[in-house]
Amino acid sequence: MQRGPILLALASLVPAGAFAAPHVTKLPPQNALVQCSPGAPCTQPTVDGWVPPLEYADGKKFPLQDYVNGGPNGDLFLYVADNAAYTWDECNIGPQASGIPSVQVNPCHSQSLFIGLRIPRPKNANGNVLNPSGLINVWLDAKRGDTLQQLVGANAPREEDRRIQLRYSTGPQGLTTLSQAKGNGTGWSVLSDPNDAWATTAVVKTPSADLGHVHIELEIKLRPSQAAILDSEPLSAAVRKLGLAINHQPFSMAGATQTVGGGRFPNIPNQPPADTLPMSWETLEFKDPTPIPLSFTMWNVGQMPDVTFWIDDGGSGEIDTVAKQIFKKEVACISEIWMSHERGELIEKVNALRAAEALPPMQAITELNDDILQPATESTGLVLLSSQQILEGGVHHFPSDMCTGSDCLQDKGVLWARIATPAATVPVITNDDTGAPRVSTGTDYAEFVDVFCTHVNAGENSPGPDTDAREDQLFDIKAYVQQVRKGGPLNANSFPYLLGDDDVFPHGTWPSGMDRPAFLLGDLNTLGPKATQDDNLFTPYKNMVGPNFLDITGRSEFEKANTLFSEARDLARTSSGADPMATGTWLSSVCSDNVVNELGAKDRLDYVLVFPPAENTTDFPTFALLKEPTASVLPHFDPDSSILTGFPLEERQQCLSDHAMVDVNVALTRVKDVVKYNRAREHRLEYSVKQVTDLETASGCCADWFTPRVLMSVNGTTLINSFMNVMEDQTIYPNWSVRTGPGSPFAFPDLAAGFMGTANMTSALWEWDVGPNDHYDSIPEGGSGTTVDQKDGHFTFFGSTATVRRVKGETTASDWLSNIEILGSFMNGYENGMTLETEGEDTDTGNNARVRHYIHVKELDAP
Amino acid sequence: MKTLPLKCAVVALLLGGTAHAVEALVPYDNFNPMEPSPPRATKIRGIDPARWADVQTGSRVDSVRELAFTRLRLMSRADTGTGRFGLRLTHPEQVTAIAAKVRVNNARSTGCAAPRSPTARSTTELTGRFFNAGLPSRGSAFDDVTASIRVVSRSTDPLGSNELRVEAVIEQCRDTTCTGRTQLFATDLGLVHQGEQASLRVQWDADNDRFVFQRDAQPEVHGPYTVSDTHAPGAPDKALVVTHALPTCASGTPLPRGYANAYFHDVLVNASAAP
Repeated sequence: MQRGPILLALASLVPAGAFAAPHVTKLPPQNALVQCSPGAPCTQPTVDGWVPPLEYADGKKFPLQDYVNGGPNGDLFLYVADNAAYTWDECNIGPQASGIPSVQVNPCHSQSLFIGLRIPRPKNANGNVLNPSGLINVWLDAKRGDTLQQLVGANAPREEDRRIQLRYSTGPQGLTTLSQAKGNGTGWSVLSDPNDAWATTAVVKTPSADLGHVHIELEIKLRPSQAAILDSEPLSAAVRKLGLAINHQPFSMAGATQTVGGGRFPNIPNQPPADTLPMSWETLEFKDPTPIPLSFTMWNVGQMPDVTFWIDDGGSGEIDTVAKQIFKKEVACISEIWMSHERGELIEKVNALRAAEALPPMQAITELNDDILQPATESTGLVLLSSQQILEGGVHHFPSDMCTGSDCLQDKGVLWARIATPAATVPVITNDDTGAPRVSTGTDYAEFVDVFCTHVNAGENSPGPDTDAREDQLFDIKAYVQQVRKGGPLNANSFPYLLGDDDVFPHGTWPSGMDRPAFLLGDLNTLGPKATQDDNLFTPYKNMVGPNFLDITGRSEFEKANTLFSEARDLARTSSGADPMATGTWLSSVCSDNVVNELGAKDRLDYVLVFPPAENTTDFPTFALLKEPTASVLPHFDPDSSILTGFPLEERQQCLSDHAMVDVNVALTRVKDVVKYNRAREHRLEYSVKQVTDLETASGCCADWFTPRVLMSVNGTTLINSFMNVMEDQTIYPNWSVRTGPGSPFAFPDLAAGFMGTANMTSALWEWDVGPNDHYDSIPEGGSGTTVDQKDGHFTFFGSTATVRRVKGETTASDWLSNIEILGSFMNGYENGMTLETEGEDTDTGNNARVRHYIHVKELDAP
Repeated sequence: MKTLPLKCAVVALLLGGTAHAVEALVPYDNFNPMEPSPPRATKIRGIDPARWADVQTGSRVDSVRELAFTRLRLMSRADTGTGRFGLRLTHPEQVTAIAAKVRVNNARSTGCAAPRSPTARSTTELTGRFFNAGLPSRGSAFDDVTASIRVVSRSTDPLGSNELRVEAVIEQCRDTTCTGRTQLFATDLGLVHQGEQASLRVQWDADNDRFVFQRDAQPEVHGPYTVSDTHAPGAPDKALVVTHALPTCASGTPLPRGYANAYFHDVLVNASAAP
């Protein structure tokens, strides 16, 4: 979902005719002066009836959903060229990204809106595609500011506004008719003067290379030169906005099994754009895309284990002082905390510090155990902390032969956290059953990034056993990262990804994250270049990021066509401070207060790297990285470490660690908009317990979890799954689920098209104990009560509004309808599902857990 | 939890199995409320008040006494005088032996700048007053006999050294608060590195007029005494503590420092003192 301020989201809830505020899309025009040059030419669409997505790579992609007929979804692409004129050598020249024809308009056109549509074609009973026809309306509100300010008369088409109609048919006798009307204060009038038209071209084709779709392209000049319509200047500096709506209406045709291909922009269920209400149209703001900021911290803190007591800690830091430095970070990868209980203590300390400042607790991925027979070094020594929700997580250990020397006493590896971005929890207003607006509380499962945290084999950087082991590990990281990002499962154990001993992973699968950047934070024990230093002077580094190992240096096809987004891979290579070279991280065990000025001379071992969107296809990624990330390196000199010892007295000073802390700030943005709930289609409903965390607030480890009951009830049929095998850990990712569709012991059908009923879901959380097993409390209601209504989360999906609500319980039928909170409505997106964390508050037993409930209404493949 | 009995047995075997002439040791507290050893009938949050009470004497600039995930953590940072800080067992009378795993993360002692000034000392201890060598007076430690096994940092330790010393001492209290002491026995149990875990045991062997000390799997060390041991201590006390003993430095010179930061876990006691 493209989430924005609450007011913007409110628009989708208000009936047509009473629009509070339109949807907004920020679409930065391609600026030839800034983005294009002969050395780095731009790409612009060519209106030729072939819509390769990457022609629109500097634009944005939206789904076209037919809320009337159902059927498969189409695609809409929008792209805008800014005012600056193009020269012949800076756009549509030279090698193009995949899928873009070699013949393109050159020089490119400035001041134009390009619209590309790929519309599904209907089929006959034999499965053969037919040649459809249809009507496309494009509405243009040229003085959008007036409309948004609700000036008198502005919420009706005025003379500067246009409606462009493209009527088409396909096949051997296909025709395309383009007409244009202008506003008259109440509706639309035929243009009396041809010069009043916004120059428009359009081409419709059914390309043989894509038989399943009709391709339609339009180019509309946004800044006409005719004096009569100079008011129509969305690209003028004072405006930089355009009201835009598009509607495609497919005509029914003989022989088709189903009419398909309808769609609209803005893509709002139950609210098609109204012909004479500009407030019902989308606002295109010609501004930088909406940023989703994130920050990452990498820090090796050198907390050594007792079994290798002869190796001193890296610096003066202890768990307390480390916690004080990181408790306000957003996402932090902390390496070298070898003792399990110190990792647990770090999490407790961080959250105690956060609680003191009224900050919500950080969530963490790490290895915690109470096994006294397991040496402390048999772990990765890593802790991955996040102040954002961790949706999924895992621990992977490198195969045991990938190490040298004392590293073989350890069990190094990589942690994974799928982190909800701030966009996942931006409040969205959803109507409750009385129609009153409520702030939804669900987390959008599609708004995430995958973050990996690692620490690889130490040793020499000159070629030899150490570099060999390290490269094996880097290859293993790449394989693990790929397996995670494509959605698992992580018990597959199929080359190149190999399951490690004692790996921790979510059960089942999860949505693919290949469509967005992922981030690798780690002590990679590989000397790397700083700022503009030549990669060729750092061969192990060059190998590490090159195609044989992490493989992050290549440009994706999207990157070849896009000029808007960052292509940075090594985010902490250059400092954003006064000295770009101040990115060395490998300090000595003795520091001085001048260490901050010495970073340029230090070696760089600690990294924040980017895995670019890995679906190197000719399509858009879902998210991209905005230009340009910033970085800083902090050595954390410890003035309290200064002591005078010995005779004669000598002063000894340290930093908290012998590694400096690396901080990186990035911003993601969405370049592909989300699919929304379409009641005209069939859906599969799933409910899962994705994550369970023991809320033991007074320490200890580890609980033994199971569930006798994960329940779903739809249309009078109830399915209960149980998962009785105990899972032991402080946090587990069990994916205990129940769903409609195939796989149940009896018929439990998916939600039919037009479903207007309700579906009820709940689960119970239990812990195995030496005495009676404990039914954990996982909801804030019910105090210390013992009934399922007082301990378990209950949820109801309402087909009429596509909302999911947490409800009172199950004692009476009406309890399933009694609202406690609204997670959200699938009509607002949530294309990968929505989740909610609930926490128990049983003060009698203290048996409280935080549970991540997951609910997804998934559109089934259309015929 | 399903492996708990096995874990308890292993702990008892490792730490309690070598005390031939004295009582066997059994778990007292492992500081893991989620999987307690010994098991508890009801789940206890945090430090169990039925088994532990606070100990705190002297003054300090910073201190921590907390359950740190699955360990007890004691930290004291002081710059003046003497003091002890930690937990005492709530029923010390029955306790004739204490054992625990101890890891001193960091300890540092800094004395005065002036030459030949007294030594500063910080310790991490398993300690107790086991009997009274004279005529005990209730609440008075006078003539109580203490035995301790401890990890010690001194200001005379070599520059830059991260080695600490493990020591066993028997002392007789010379005053009612046991501030002044007469040493009856002391022995060196070797070096331990900061961050290295050590299993320590101190046990009263009354039948043989001695204390038994043991570090890890090293041979037992016997600390004999010749004083009377027939009376119970006037101020019975068994405890896990960090301590400091600092000299008074000349005005205007840097303050001394006593710092100890340690973890304790898997505490065992003699079987008859089992909780």
